[in-house]
Amino acid sequence: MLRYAVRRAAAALVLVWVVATLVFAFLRLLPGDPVLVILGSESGAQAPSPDQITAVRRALGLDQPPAQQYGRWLARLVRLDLGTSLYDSTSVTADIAQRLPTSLELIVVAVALAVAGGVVLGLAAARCRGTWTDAALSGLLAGGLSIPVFVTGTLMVLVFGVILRWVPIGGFVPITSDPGAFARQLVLPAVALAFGLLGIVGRITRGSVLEVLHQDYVRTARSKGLGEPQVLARHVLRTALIPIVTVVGVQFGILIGGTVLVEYIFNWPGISTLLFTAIQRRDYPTVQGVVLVTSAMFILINLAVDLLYAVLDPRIRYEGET
Amino acid sequence: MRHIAWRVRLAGAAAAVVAAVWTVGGAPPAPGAPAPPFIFGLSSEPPNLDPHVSNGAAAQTVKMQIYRGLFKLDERGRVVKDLVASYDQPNPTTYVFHLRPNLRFSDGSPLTSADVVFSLQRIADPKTGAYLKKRFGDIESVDAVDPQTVKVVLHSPDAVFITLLALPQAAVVSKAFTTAHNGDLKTATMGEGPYVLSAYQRGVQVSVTRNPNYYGAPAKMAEIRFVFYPDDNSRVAALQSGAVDMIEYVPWQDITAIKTNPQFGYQGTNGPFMYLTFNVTQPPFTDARVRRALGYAIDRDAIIKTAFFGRGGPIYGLPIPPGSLAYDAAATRYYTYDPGKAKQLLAEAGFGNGFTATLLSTAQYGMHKDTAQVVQQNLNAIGEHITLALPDWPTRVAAGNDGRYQFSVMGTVGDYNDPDFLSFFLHSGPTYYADSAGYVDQAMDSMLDQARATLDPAKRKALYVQIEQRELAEAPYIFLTWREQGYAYRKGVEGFHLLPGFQAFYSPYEFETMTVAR
Repeated sequence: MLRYAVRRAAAALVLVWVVATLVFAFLRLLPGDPVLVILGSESGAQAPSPDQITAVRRALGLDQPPAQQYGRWLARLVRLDLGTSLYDSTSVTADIAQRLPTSLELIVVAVALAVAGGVVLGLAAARCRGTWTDAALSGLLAGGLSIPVFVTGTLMVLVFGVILRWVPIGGFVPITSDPGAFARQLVLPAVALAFGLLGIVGRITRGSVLEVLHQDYVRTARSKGLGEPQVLARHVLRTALIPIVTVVGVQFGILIGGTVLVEYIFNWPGISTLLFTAIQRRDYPTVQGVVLVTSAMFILINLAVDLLYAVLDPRIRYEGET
Repeated sequence: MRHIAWRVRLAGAAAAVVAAVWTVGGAPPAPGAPAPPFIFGLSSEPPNLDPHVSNGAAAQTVKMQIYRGLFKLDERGRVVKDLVASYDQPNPTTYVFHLRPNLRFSDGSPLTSADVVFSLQRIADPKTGAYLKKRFGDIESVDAVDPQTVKVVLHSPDAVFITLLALPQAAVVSKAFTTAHNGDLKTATMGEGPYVLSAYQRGVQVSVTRNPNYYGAPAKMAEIRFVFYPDDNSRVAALQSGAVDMIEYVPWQDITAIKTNPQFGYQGTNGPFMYLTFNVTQPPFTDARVRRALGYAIDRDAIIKTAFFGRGGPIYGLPIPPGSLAYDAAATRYYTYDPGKAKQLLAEAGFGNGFTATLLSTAQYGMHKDTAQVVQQNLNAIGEHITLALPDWPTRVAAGNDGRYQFSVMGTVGDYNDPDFLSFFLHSGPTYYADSAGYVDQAMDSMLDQARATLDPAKRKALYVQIEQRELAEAPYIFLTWREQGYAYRKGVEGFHLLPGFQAFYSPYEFETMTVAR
């Protein structure tokens, strides 16, 4: 088990380096010059002078050849220094350290809601297969899967924020400064984000449970007199959980850096918004830093999921040993 | 079964905690608590707060509370003295500014002529990336005569020099503070304006509180909190739900609903405008007749309807706001929407069978994209073959700066209502994405230089009439529509004055006198 874990971790590290290099290269290939964006806003009537362009480019170190910039960046990276933003000269590491937890709070709550709701609804749909309940639940789950988050999000803002005024329409209060306000601000974005995920988790659960329900060992469990809740919890769900864990793991990874729409609609200052604005401004160090950290987390989560399989399913563990 | 029961209990406990926290957090504020801050919905997070760098109207709104300059604009948009108590102009190129007595920065340190000299030099330093750098190239020397007096000598007379000093990008910064921060004012912020930066929660909001050392009457509101709402719908929803007191950049689709709702106040003006730039070194736009044909071929009302939900105004000539020195009603009605005439001009230029061209715009801003689509439709309807290029904004800027395009949609606003703003478009210079690439007209250059150096208003007006005629004949640009720029606020907000025309973006100068009743 340990050797398996170590080997997977080493592969993950190499993958992170590859991602870092690709991000660096692609950004430089992208048309658009950060210096020009810095010197002119979207309504810049006055042209900057050529000596300004040269001076600002030099001040930001963007006049050096890309190979040299890459070398410097890697050297800093080893010391866990992601550089400073081209826009406000703050440390990218500090920016990410501030934005990542904010995103994770939202994602963790949304995933928890989606998993809890999705497993229960999926299980219920599977149990009532072919009935009206199944049709209604499947419809709801399909809705979650297919209605884009900017539609559900905007509708929720309108209904619960503007018309009913039950919850704030958006914004963010750190959990440390006011947990109550934090929770109230979190409700809408978390539910909007969870709704889409609910569709995925629910449908996977339904399919997976249906498959397992007809297995011999489930019939055996029933025939030896176990109650239905125990059959479902101990025999059906445990096996059915593997595809669910996979999907949740992958979705969790996708959500880190992929919640830009929810963050935008609800004014949630997460890492996706940071990345989005950084790309719009060609803020190279920030884009590089965010993509690197989010992909490292994605890789880490995949690693965790792989290890979790091994825990859930001994066959995987033993294969890894050989 | 036991462990299941344990989980149920845990879930119950968690729910109870959430419920408790909810109730506590929702409690009304205790009596005697300080007045809640005035909350302003800002359309984007400022990229940074360096007052000399231009980085969007939203950033400027915040900076204008913190920094002030020698002059400013009053509530009707007139240039008035700010840090300056009086000034003399012993000859057309020399200005002597006398500062108000006992000026202090918000940290209590005295503000002297050394700070003014330092600020003007900082703007002139190319490393700063200052917005006014090129215009301040006119300055020959800046000297501190004594701690209260600054003498500025220009290379040549400049009719808009004082107007430039009233722009927020000409703010006075502290020499000691700036030097202590290695010249970097992106996040380090300290000025002499009515407010001081008090809190900055990145990605969320920035707060300013009353500056006790402000020279003028203390700001009426103790605190303004600028909350970032980049999404148009969210910003409007924030106003409607009562989460904010006021918003900027009211989206065009919401203006009518807000205007007719008695719960809200709204003020808007036709400030910014949309136009077409041409690469005049590449066919078919080398020929003025082709460019002029576009002046007749494009249905301005269709653009206003499609891109701006009817909130704007057509420009069938030059974008000179009424009230400007050079306003000439005839010059604003030079073209008409007349596809027949457009076809005729194109036929004369040898494009009777239509031309093929790519129109550069950007998908990043809806108004740029929608405008481009109407232009494309109008031109294709009379037999041209127009394709659209819609990259993101930085790519579009780079293409424009390299002159890698045939014609493009742009939108901007003049820096001031003085007709000298025309020189940004019409004066030759390095290729710039907001300008027509390759357009050089020496006669135009010398007329613009002369108009700027002429101090007599009547003579200037005559010169601008000539400049306007030449622009319309040569058509290096085709101007399309005004777009409305508006602020909305809830009932109870008093004392907001929208400045006219191009100056709409400088309205936040007057926030210090706003009040809000709750």
